[in-house]
Amino acid sequence: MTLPPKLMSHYSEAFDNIFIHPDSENSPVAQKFRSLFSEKIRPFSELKGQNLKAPHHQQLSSQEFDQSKRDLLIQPFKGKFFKQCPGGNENSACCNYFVLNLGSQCHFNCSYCYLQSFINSPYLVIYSNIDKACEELIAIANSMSKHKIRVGTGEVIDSLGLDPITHYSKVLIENLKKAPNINLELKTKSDFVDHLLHLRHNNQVTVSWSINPDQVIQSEDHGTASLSERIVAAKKCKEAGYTVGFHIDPVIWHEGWEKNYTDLVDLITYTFSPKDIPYLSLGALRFQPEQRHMMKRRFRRDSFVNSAELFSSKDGKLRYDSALRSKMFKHIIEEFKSKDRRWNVFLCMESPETWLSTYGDYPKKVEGLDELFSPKPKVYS
Amino acid sequence: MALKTEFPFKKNLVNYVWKSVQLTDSLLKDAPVVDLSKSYTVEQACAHLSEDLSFVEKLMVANVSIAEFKNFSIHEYFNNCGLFHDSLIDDVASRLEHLPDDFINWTIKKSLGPKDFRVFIYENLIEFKKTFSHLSAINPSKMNGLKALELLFDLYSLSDFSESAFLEITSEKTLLKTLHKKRFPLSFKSDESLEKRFSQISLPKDIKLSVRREGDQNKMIVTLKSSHPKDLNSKLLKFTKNFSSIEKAWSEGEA
Repeated sequence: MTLPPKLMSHYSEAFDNIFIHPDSENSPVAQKFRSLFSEKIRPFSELKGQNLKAPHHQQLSSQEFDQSKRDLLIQPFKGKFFKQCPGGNENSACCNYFVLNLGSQCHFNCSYCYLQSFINSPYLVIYSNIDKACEELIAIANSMSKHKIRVGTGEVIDSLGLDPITHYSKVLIENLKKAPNINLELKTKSDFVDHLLHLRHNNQVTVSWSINPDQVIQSEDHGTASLSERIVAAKKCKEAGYTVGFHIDPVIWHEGWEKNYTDLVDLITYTFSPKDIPYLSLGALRFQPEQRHMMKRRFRRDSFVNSAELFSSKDGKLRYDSALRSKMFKHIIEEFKSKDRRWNVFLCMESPETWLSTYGDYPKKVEGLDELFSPKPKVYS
Repeated sequence: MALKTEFPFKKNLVNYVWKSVQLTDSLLKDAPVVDLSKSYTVEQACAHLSEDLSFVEKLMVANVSIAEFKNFSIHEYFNNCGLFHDSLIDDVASRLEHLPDDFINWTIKKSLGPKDFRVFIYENLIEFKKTFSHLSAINPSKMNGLKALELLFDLYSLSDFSESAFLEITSEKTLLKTLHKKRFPLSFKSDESLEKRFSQISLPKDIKLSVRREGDQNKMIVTLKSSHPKDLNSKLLKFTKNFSSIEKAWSEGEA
């Protein structure tokens, strides 16, 4: 296997060590990493005697967390790949999303990333048994054949961050033929899309980007693609017939936010039409309070995120004042609607109160979003 | 420095020793001497005597023990105390050495645990000796003290506040309010402005409208005093007539 020099250099700089679990030795993904980065492969025996999780399930220290992004472990996943998105609960409205985790941790480094309070493994893990994930995907599709199901692979790992090597998205897309009611969402902050452009996706794939004004990306999304790189990548996907999605998430307050988000909306609406992008989501900065200490250690204390005025919300997460959130959401939604009323923008992981103060109604009653928020059967109880 | 000169164990009815090293004093004159080395490892003995000690005092025990006992295992000692010895504990121990005694005494008095110290670990603490001493002089509750320190470190690093400004705060009552106002200036301004708009609404006597922040939300608090159900009915009717003014005052803040 070979990679373009730019990608080769990107990954060479990203990783220090690569460990391969004995059960994954012969997997295609292990062979790819071995052929590309033989000098970084360490004997699995070096892991023996160590806990694969942090001792006593403690949170990793900031140094350990930093290192967990640089040490890669390829191993099989023993549990169920397919899960219902944790977004829907009594405090937030659910958009019926399902997640398929093909690994955990991310080699990008966003200051607000929730993985800082979620990950307690000292490795970036890639699961080697993609075949089992595909089997589950098909089984779920068949069991819910009367429903359209949205499935994302970007919950605990960037969908495309390592995809130029793993080609997992390609494997999933090839399997979608057997799961015609599934729409697969590949969510990323990279511009690694070239390997997807020639695939037959049968209009079942959405490639989406978490996106923000460049001022925010430069300040908070370390190691990721710039705004223009993301837009260029999205344009390539659109031209290859993919549905494109944008998540303006997290919306981050900063001096000049109104103009910067207006400019972002201008850029999106200039480059794409509502037909290209069925839904856009908005979510404001939020994270578990316990991760704030790690964020302050790992990133500039005066960054937009670390200096933000955040308060405890009903679900325990730290968020901006609810009126400020509504104000920011309203501004962005109005900017979209002023360009074209057909833009569908929904709020991600927001309280019913915020829906009410932003839209004047609950999500199921907002035109264009009703189908998205209507309840679907549970996958696993 | 109080952190590492002597064992902080409480006095006992006997003098506990570990071989030739005295661990505790006795409350009694001519108390019997009990050598714990006959039944316990040194780490077990120290952990046993540490049962009622705060986390910081346990750090002191660990520090003194390293100096007193050859091959003393901090890891085993903390394990026997039911604490996991990790990098956080080492970090806290090394940083506490630079803090003034009065502040260390406050952390002992308020029984700060390992996780409470997370707020301390991203600062060069030596620079803030006056802050620590002043805070311990104010003697806030554990929760208020920790909140105040976090706000202070944020403010210092955002260059929005100087140590001398903090030294002007002298009571626990004004401590958090002053620091919150500095750390959350936009929200504070918006809360104050809403309060002001509410105060300008002419409401019937005995009805008061105020604002209270509850986490990420501002809540309207309506206080209504009434002497009789009929009186209550009449006041509620009058109050409802002001709904549009209240709504207007509220939505002006959202605009």
